[in-house]
Amino acid sequence: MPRIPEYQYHSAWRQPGAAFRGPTMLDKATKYVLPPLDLLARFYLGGIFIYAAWGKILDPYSFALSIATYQMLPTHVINLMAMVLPWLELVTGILLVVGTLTRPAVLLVNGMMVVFIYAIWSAVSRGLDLGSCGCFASEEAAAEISMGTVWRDVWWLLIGIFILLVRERSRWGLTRLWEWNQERKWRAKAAEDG
Amino acid sequence: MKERTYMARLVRDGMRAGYLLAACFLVGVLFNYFRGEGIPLVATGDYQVFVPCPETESEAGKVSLDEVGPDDSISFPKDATLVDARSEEGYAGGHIPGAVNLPYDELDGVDAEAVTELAARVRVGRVIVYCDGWEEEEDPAARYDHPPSEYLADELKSAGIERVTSLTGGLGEYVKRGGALEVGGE
Repeated sequence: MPRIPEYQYHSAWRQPGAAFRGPTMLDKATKYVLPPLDLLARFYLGGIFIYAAWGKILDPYSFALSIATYQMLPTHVINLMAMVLPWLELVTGILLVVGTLTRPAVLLVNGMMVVFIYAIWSAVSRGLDLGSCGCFASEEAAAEISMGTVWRDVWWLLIGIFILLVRERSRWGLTRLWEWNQERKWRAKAAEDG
Repeated sequence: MKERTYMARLVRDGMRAGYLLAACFLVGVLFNYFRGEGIPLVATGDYQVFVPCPETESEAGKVSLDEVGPDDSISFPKDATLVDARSEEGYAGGHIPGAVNLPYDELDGVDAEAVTELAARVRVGRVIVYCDGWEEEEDPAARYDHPPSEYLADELKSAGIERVTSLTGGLGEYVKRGGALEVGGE
């Protein structure tokens, strides 16, 4: 029986040591369905983060004011947060889209989402009338803050968790492209050596 | 190649996330430093957060010291409950004898339970609310259009207390007319 390369099928679904009888439905699903789903999710979440970061980088004062409106952080921390958070959003967003260092990036994204959810939920439950959540700089994207905003962020967190759970070998992106290239070179070399 | 366990990979990715965070921290601070219109690293003053004042359904009236008692001997009606709308510290520092403290915060409004309790207690009597008292033209930069006692009086009226008024001039006017103060908590 020919050796099945490890990268080709997802042995996680099979019992260790079990005989290989061709790819199962789950193997096919993980090979053909997960990567495009993961790509879609990454583009969606990464795009949101890049879009959200851009306006905040251009106008840090407005973002600092948005943070202050939540009345959760001491004044001396607000500016530092307004400087760093947009860059964190931008970098993680770009990493998600290009598909390299995806897991560290999505860990940070999920961490941010948890903080955002808590902040918005806290503001809504305290009855703070913030106008908008300050998530996006542009006026048209600034929806009125409500429990709907919390649920929207929960949805994004769920997408983040999905991306975190997808295995690296099922991920279409720069890292996988580089690995494919390495494998191609290795096979060419192996064929050359006989 | 040796397969890493899930936990080992998570720890490795967590550390990478930490490096990313540190890098973003540096980039953010440096970018802000070198850009023209950056913000200071630490805010020099409090941010002016504009939050709409709590809205009330009813509007209470006003009463001046001339109406509640003669100038030289200020005496409030016997059935009147005096409510001090200032902070607990302000109340402890000196208040009109017999007044109860119901601190009113311009942002958070007033403790709903305390209002209900007061409403139950003064069902038949009248309530006079006072605060420090200030003239509107004294502080043109003031964020609020009315003294806190007026807002609190409106809230109490909305809570069902019929005969509620706010004291014009507040404690300032009371002291100016030689009114006695009581020091200490409730």
